[in-house]
Amino acid sequence: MELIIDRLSKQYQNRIAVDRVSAKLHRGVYGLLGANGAGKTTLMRMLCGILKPTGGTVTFDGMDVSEEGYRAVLGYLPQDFGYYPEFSGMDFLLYLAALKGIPRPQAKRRTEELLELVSLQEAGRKKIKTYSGGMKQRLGIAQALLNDPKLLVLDEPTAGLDPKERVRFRNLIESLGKDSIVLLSTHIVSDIEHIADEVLMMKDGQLIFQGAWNEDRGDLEKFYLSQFGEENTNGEL
Amino acid sequence: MGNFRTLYRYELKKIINRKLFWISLALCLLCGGSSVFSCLIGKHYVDGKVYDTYYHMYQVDRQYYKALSGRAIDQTLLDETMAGYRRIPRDADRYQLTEEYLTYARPYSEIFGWIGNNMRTNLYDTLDQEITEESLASARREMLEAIWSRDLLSEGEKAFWREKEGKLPNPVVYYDYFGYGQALEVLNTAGVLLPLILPIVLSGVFYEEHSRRTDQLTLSSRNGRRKLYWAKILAGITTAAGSALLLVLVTLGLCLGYYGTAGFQAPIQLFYPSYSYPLTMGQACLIAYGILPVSAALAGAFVMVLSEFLRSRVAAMSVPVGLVIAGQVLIIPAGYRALSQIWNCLPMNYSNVWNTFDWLLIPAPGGYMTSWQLVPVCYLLGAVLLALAGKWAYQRYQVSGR
Repeated sequence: MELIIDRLSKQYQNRIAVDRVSAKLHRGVYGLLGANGAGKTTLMRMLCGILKPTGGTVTFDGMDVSEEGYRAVLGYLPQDFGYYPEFSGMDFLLYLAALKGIPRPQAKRRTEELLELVSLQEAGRKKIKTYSGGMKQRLGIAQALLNDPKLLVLDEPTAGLDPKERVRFRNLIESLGKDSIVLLSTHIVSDIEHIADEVLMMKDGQLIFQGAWNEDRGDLEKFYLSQFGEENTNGEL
Repeated sequence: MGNFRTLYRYELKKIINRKLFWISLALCLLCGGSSVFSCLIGKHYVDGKVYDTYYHMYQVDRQYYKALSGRAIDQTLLDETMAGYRRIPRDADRYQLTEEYLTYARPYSEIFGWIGNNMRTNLYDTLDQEITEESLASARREMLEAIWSRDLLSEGEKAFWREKEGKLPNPVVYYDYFGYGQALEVLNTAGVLLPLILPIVLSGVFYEEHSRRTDQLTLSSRNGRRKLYWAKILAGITTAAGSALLLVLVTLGLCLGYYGTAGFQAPIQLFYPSYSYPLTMGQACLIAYGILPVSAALAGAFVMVLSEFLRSRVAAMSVPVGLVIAGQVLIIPAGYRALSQIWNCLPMNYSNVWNTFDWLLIPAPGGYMTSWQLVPVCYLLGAVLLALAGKWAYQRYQVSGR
């Protein structure tokens, strides 16, 4: 299981959002850190095939990001995703299961499992427009897991979750990392410190750090602050 | 295939779960349905005074139509008609108000109208002539030849229509066809309503995925780039064709339910004298109303694809509405033959019965085809081509910014 990012770039007219990023990711949890505008979301969109790079390639076990097979193993939770207000949580998951190519009986079973996993089993039949922000976020997490993804891309997954849910979700990600590649972007350094096997740090579209973080290296939060300065972090670290 | 069915069902649900869809459809059905009775509403004025209500006029005339129904327009009926009309005093200011017209002529007004349309003469000019089956047939031939020449028909087309004219029953048998006639009259209302509501209903099918930011989830999914596109297109087209079918059922149902189903076998020439194709009124209604759902399917595909190309809901609504308005005001002169024919065959214009049953033909292998034989096929092909063009735009969509 290998995700190869090779000189991946995205340029908008006179601005380079992602600049020749290369990495090889294997099974495990990867924490992606960076200030606002560092290029994290752009990088993740390219890894999910919804934004075409201006240069470079992305392959998963030899499958190009543009292939249907690549998308079949992908789970994606965007930072700010939309929903269908008239759908129930159950309908939303069943619809996305069909989008992910999961056969109907299996989709039903998996949907019920995931609603339970994200504590939405009782609200599953209610319309999403009645959900709170945290419930919507949990539904988003559930949809990303529908197809048991081999590559899971999570953009700010814990945003909107209460502290208890955040810890529960952090543990879930940790367990998912045992069988999949999980790329997790967040502003919350402690999330990454606890569960990431490796840290990727982005600044101005470039990877400025990639590797495992251990106590010998010191405090990740301090390192992060030294790279970006406190003014960029809004104290959200 | 299982996933496609599920996706299709959910896409359909997204469209029809919206209040806007039901409000638009209800308004459309209400307008379409009420147009059926428009001929009964109001009063007829002569010299500023109320002559009669349209409803009463309809009741009286309808009895006369029924009395004539089933009679051949032969010399006997022509003589009766002319005798009735010749009793109208020549010096009457308003012949419709005379006792003679009301008593002797009005029962034959349908036959007299048929004579006048074929002779291309007004009341008194017609009365001055000796009307026989032969003179009427000769005048009809002259009338048709004049129209065909005016509209620049080729010799091949004229030969086609002469051959069709030769197949018409002689003498023509009159039937009371009021229900079918009214159905054809109001068809244009239905044809204009649909292109107005479809942009409201369908312009969001693709656009809302982008504006709601659900496109990030759909496009990153296995079936999000291909199957989902076709599921959306099919759901939109089904909604468009289904709405049209409902409108057809309501309009045609009310027309035939209220005015009666008699007159299916009446030749279309009674309603539309200058059209020579051997069709009955019932067949003409089935053809014209049958084309409406196909036309709606094309209009629906157009709106959806336009919204994907323009990435703007307002633009996707404005263009079709603009085309409908243009269709009502813009008449391309027959001199620009091809352009005029194409313009008249566009969905917003084609529901006008004079365009549906036009004498301009389309060359086909081994002869010619009428527009109503080819237009539904062209609409379907057009919908497929538009859908393919839309797929091109959809698959190239990039999620950026925000």
